[in-house]
Amino acid sequence: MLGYRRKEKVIKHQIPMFSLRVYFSVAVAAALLTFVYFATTKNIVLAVMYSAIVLGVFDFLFELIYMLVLQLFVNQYLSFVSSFATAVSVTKSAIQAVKYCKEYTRPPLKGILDGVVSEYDAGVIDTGNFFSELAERINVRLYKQFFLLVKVADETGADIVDICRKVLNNNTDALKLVRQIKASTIVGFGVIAFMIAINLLIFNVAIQNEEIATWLFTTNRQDLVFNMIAILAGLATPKLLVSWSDTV
Amino acid sequence: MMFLFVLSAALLAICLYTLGSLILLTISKPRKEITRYTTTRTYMILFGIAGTVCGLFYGYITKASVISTVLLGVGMGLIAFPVPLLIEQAQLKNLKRNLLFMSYLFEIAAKHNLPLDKTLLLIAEGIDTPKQRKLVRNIAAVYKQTKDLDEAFKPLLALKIPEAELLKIALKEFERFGQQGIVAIETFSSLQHQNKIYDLTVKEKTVDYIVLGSSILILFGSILAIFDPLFSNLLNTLPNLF
Repeated sequence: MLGYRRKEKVIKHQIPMFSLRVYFSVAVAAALLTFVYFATTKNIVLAVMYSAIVLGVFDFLFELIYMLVLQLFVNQYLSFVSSFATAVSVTKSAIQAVKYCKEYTRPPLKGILDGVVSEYDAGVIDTGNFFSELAERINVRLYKQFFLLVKVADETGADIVDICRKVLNNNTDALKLVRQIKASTIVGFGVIAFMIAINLLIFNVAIQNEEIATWLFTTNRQDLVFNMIAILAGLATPKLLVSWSDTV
Repeated sequence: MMFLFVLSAALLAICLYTLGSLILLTISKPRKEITRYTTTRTYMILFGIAGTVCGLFYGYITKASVISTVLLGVGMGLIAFPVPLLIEQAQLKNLKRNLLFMSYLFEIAAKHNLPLDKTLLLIAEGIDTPKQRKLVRNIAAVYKQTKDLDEAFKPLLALKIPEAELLKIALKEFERFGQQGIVAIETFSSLQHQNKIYDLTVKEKTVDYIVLGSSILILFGSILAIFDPLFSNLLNTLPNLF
């Protein structure tokens, strides 16, 4: 469902307590409360508008959290792959290389590597499933696909260092561009949030005037609908930008 | 009035969707022959009709003039018409994202004589969209049974992605010439990489404009909410003054 489940799994790496179901319930409850409050104190049109905006804001924050957690993974991708390649060339074993270079990683990646390595040491995971398990747990496509490549290379006896070199060569340019997109996206998040705040402020001041309020809520509702669509489009924009920066 | 319109539009859309599905089910006797292309085209027509009917209905309810009603109908039809195509393109983009990874795995597998069906299963493991994972698994299953790339790649080729056709040709080349055919897969992989870089460059250039556009839209929304009532009230009261 629009990748929400996948994003939830990524967020859980950093915030283990996070639950999409709870988050969604809180969002719906907040929207309903807003609806009831505005329907009783103001009017039904305003109630619909504000409850839709509350849902939009929750989605906006969800995307922001996802992007920040994903950033923690993507930031250390190149250094992880290069230290992994070095470790493989020294230790001659892919699993030993993971054990070696997990010391040089930062959370949340470190947590996942630690978990799988300790389970491997305890005998819960066997050698054949080590990289499958890593790929399964990590849920970040960049790492998942890298671990699967290493798994295939390990099984077939291909040159892992050569593969790492290829991955590094190909991903350096792509990740540089992704980083630029992410930087612009984060600025975009701020700018859009600021604009929405200003919009709501101006709108609230405007509806204090009785004549404007009558016009907006009864005579001609198109302006109100346009404003609501503009705010919702603004809240949906980061979703598009996050999907762009997620393309690697 | 607005709620009635939205409700009627939703009901109409559901009815048309059911009707479309039923038509497709009856037309296509062997169900396998429904290609994605025909369904998308059918849905595009259905969405277009739904949009036109909704526009005409709204015009009729609000007692607009005949020209406005017709224009509204045509406009809504034109807006709704390309929606299924856009949805399909978004799904295809998801699949295209995985092509580079696919080409890497094919390259390693080809160099080390890993069977193609096993490679396809490994590729399916690395794809995070369930629908596409299933598609790749189906390809692997068909290939394992028939050993025929044309037959196996049929569902992927039905999506009309040019890259899928290229990938199939590269794999066929490898099947025919063995290790010498790896060059075709390597070329495919490097082309995919270049495509990705180009795609990201375009996106990087567009981000700022999108943020600017949505900011202007939000600001314009609030300005319209103040100035439209103000000017309308002012213009309505002007005749009383003079």
